[in-house]
Amino acid sequence: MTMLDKISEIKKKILYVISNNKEAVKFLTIFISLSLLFFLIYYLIQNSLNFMLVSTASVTGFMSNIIGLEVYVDGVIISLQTMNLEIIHECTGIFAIMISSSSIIAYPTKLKNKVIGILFVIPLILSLNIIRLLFLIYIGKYHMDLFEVVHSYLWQGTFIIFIILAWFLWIEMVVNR
Amino acid sequence: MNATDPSGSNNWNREVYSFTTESAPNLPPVFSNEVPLDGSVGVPVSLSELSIDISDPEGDGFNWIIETSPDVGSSSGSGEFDGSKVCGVSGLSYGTTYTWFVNATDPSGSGSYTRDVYTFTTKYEVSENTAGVPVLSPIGIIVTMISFSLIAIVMINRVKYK
Repeated sequence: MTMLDKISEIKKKILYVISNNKEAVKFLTIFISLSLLFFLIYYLIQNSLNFMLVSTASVTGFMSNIIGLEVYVDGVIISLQTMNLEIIHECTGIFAIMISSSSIIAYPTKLKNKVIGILFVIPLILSLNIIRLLFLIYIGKYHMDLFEVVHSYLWQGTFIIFIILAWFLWIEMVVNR
Repeated sequence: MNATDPSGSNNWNREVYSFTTESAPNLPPVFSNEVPLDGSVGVPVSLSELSIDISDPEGDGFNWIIETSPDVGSSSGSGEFDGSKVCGVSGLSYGTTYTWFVNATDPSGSGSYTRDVYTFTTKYEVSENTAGVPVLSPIGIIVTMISFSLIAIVMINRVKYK
């Protein structure tokens, strides 16, 4: 069998898999395209989303002081004395919202279900992000040596699991109801 | 009091009585114009003194004392008169709430005293160490997207082959 024959055979197999998984391929195409589109739009208009930085810092600072984690908020900087947390766009949960929204929009279901999914997932991600920041403030103040591990690994993994779980719940409880 | 006996000698008798009301109570010293204001936040750690105006309503001399907690200084005086009283402070820490107690006694009057408590919080230290805390790193974004894709394929096919 020549190389060309092998390539031709692989091509046939791919086309066969695609033709038998049209819905899944459609999902992947829309999901990836939408995610990329959202990322592109975000980079074009990120300056007009600066209110998200200040509001995330303010809400986090307010909640911190309520639960006794004294911090000082100056614009987008949350000062813990031991260190400062700077709220940048990536800290607001905007990317998680974009990916989750893309996956909801791409999933084959009724428009009504998609709207419910987006209305469910956005507040969930924003709330979870505030809880994450409060947790990081606690670690930053009292267990500074664990900060990098908790921030980079523990919360990253936890956040991914939460948003996937939320999406899965949406499919089970709303789409497949 | 005047009393006359008209059916007898017609003589009269007059007695004079008097009484004096108690003197006005001697009021304790009063405080005003504390600096920094009670409950102030963001006070610089370079603050060097606390001050408060103390006056006695009767103008008597009084003894006063200012103490701080945590202890960053104290000051006192005796037999002093109305005016601003100052307490030097040093070694304040960032992001700390300090309580200062002011006590003034008027020994030449009733001996009554006034005691008041004020607080202020120093500003937070802006550390050199500033970190951004992204929700998802680029790798996290890729992992999430792959996870969504795999779950979606499974879920879509599950419905298809049900």
